[in-house]
Amino acid sequence: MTENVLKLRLVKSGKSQGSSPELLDDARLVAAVRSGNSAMAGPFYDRTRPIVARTVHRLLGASDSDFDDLVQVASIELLHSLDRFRGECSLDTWTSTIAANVVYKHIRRRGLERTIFAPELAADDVPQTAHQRPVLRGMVERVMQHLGQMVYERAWTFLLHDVHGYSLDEVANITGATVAAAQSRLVRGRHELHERIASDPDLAGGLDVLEDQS
Amino acid sequence: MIEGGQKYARLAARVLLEQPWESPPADVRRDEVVAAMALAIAAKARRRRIVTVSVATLAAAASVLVVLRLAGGTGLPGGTPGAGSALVVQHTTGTGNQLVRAGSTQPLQDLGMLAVGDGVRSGEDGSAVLGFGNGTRITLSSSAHLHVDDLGSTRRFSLFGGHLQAHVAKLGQGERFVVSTPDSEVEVRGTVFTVAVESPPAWCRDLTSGSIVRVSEGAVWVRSGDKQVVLQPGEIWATPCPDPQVMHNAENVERSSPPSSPVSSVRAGRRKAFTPRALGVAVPVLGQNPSPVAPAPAHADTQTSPVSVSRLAEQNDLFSAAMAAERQGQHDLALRKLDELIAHYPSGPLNESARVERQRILAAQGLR
Repeated sequence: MTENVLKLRLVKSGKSQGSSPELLDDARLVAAVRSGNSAMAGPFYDRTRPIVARTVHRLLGASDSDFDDLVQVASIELLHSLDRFRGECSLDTWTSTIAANVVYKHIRRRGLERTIFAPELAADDVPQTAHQRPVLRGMVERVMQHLGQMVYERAWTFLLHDVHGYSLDEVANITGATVAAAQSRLVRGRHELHERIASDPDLAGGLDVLEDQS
Repeated sequence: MIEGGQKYARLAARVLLEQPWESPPADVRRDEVVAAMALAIAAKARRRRIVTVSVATLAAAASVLVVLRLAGGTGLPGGTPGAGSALVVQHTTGTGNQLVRAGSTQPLQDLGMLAVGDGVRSGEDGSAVLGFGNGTRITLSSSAHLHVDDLGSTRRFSLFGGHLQAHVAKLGQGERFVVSTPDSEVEVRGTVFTVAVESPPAWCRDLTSGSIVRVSEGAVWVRSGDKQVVLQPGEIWATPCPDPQVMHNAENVERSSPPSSPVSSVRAGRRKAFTPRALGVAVPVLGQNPSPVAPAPAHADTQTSPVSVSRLAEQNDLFSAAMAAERQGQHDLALRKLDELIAHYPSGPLNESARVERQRILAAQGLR
């Protein structure tokens, strides 16, 4: 009985800290990197690389020749930004935001000569029928074309918020704008995209069918 | 939440959101990226150490300065200067610069501390710059002899020979900066001035040595005997040349004057305020007497030596009137006064200066 009580106390004490083992590991990892322990570079990279790669991959587009370079730049930028990381969000969220910011700046710098967002459909994870696959691919490409013709900041704010799920605060950080500006860009971006698709009968019809099917 | 009026934007986001994604490309550059990150971590740690050390150094330096400042403000008694009132030999040039301390003579060393009672002699081809922590500097020219009398709230020096230039930083309340010469005392506040102790001019036979004070900036009080004058920038004061004729009539003069007012003199039966040597230009040492003088002859002379004081006063008045007219823009009047001075006193001590000023005014008129 005494042993059970002792165990309960130990478990209770651990829960009262509100920290999962993963978070504790993240905190220790971040602390080690902050302290200047260069031996932590490998573990830190292994911990954050999947998030960085996924973010860069989705925002930059598949098969982009800059992918590896941007992953490296984002990883280094992540190190420099660690002093600002206060643990108010998870390390995954922080990593994703930093990586998105790197991609945002990179694409803006290279002048939109390429598509800003060119996802490719996976070969294995496809819609239900073979007929729907090219239809969906076509709609995605048409949406991307409209986004590419929109005001850059509006299109990015729409993508980051409505597609990739970043909060307005995070979008503001990524795009270097105020939250109010991000909010304004989001509203205007949605409106502009709606108007563009409404004036595109083929895409509007396809989306209507998709909505009816769901 | 996307509003209903923006249906297609919502559906577009759904299409993009629900699409299947390819997995990111494989990690083919791990070792390269990890190495770069390790370097970045090390560099960041190094920068942080540098910043830490720099901040610590600055903090330590600031603490030392505060301590020195506090110590200097107390003005340690007994002739031992506090750090703030310490007089340091900032640098010396040439040879023969000596420190006279407790009766013994030793070479003057750069960065050496000077104390009350010390004497500094600069060599014939030497010079020395002495400095206080507050920025006050004293530059001794060659063959100068300076004695440190006090380094407390009153910084007092005696110049026995040679030439010094003092650049006096703003002094605190109750602080004074005084330079004494054998025949005068110069007190300044926030001023650039020079003091020289030189041989008297040939026509001043009764003077063994004389002082010359030139003011570059600020104001200087010069006290000589019971007289005091205030010199403004550009003005010069020189030791008066005593004249037996003047001394004979000494009982007729007014001996005292207000501390900050110009010296007054009675001459030729009328009272007139003037500023001895305050001529606004660098002039030779004149025989202007701080004491009242005897009435001047009504006629101009031919300047047989020695020049009488009364005629020198007339020359001074002419020169001063010319300079005052020039300052007021009355160039013709200034030229007339200078011409009068040159014509009436062709061998007078101000003749050369008058010619220089005349040429300068003419040149300026040509430009105008």
